[in-house]
Amino acid sequence: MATYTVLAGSGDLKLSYDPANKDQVAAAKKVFNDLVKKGMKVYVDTKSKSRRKEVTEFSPTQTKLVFVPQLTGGMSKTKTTCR
Amino acid sequence: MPVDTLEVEEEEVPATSDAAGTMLLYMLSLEAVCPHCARIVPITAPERHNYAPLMYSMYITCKRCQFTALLSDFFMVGADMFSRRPDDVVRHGRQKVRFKHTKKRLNTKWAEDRYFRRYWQLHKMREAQGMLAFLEHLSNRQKRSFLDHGHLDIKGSEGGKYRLYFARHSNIAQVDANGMPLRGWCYHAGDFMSVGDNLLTQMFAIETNERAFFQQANVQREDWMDGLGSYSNWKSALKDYQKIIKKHRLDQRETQPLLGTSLIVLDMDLDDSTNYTTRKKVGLPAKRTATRRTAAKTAKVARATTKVARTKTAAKTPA
Repeated sequence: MATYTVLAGSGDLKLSYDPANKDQVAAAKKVFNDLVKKGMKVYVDTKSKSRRKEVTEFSPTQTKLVFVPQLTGGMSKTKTTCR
Repeated sequence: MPVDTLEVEEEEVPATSDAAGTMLLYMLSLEAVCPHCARIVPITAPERHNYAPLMYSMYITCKRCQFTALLSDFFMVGADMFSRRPDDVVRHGRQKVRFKHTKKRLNTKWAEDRYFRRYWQLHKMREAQGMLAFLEHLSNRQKRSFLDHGHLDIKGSEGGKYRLYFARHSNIAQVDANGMPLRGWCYHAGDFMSVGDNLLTQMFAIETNERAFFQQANVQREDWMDGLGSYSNWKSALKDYQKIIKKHRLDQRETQPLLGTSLIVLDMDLDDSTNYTTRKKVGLPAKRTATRRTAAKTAKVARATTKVARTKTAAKTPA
């Protein structure tokens, strides 16, 4: 089973699909593209640091992905508050 | 304003939902009521913070009776108005604020009952879930360091060394070879994220693309380390999260099937906390402006279509 881990603010949302099932792969591709359009970054989800990398296009071979929101710079030298 | 003259308005208490997680942001521009003299005290800039624990750990003084206490000891008007938008709350103003509780005294217990019971448990639950997700991605050494000291060291994709502290933002320190902090960086996802989620996001971002981190993150002021003091309760927070994880068996959660799962939870505005300049900086489109323009265009086309249809009908109708 392939899994998507989506960090949507309240912990992680774990979604699984069967990579052998065409319908499920199509749905997974749609979700992937929707989330990327929303501005989320996608990484290969692994414990080993060396294998972690950013992914920009859907590939059925990558079975463990983690979706995280776009990060931005916060408090700077000149500003007193963050934002 | 004495307690006795407060007007009473009975309303139904809004049901708690996931949306309540983001409602804390709405408390930015609200007011507190002094439990001693019941005067409405505006929460001024230094006390305002969009992260509740930090906000509640600040002291506030009533200008009338000089009663000084933690902000959490003051009755929060904002806690009464979960379901309202910030604009509505501000528009109410000082004179028109109605309290929906009965004529009993305004005290801290009331605030605790209404606010902490309804919101705080939910807040802790999502924080625990985020922390679990973060801990699952750590190596044993990193995990030990984080649980013992409240921070962990990571390596950037281009060789830089960083230390992530237990905090929502302003929590990244660039360290030298000996582990001494050189400077602080601020680079975070947004205020709707839990601490664990935010740390995980930061870790992934730095470990995979350090160059982008340097481009987008901001260097902090020299006194940035003082700000971390507000998170000195990290140890008890972690203990709480571990208890919640154990109690609700969060670590034994099963994955949901992708087909058939409602993704409503993902419909939140991911760029809620980023202003236009920041959006431009990271290459996100100016969504709101585009939406407004599109809506205006659609309305214009609809009006034109209606007008043409009416003209045709009028022409067909015999005089």
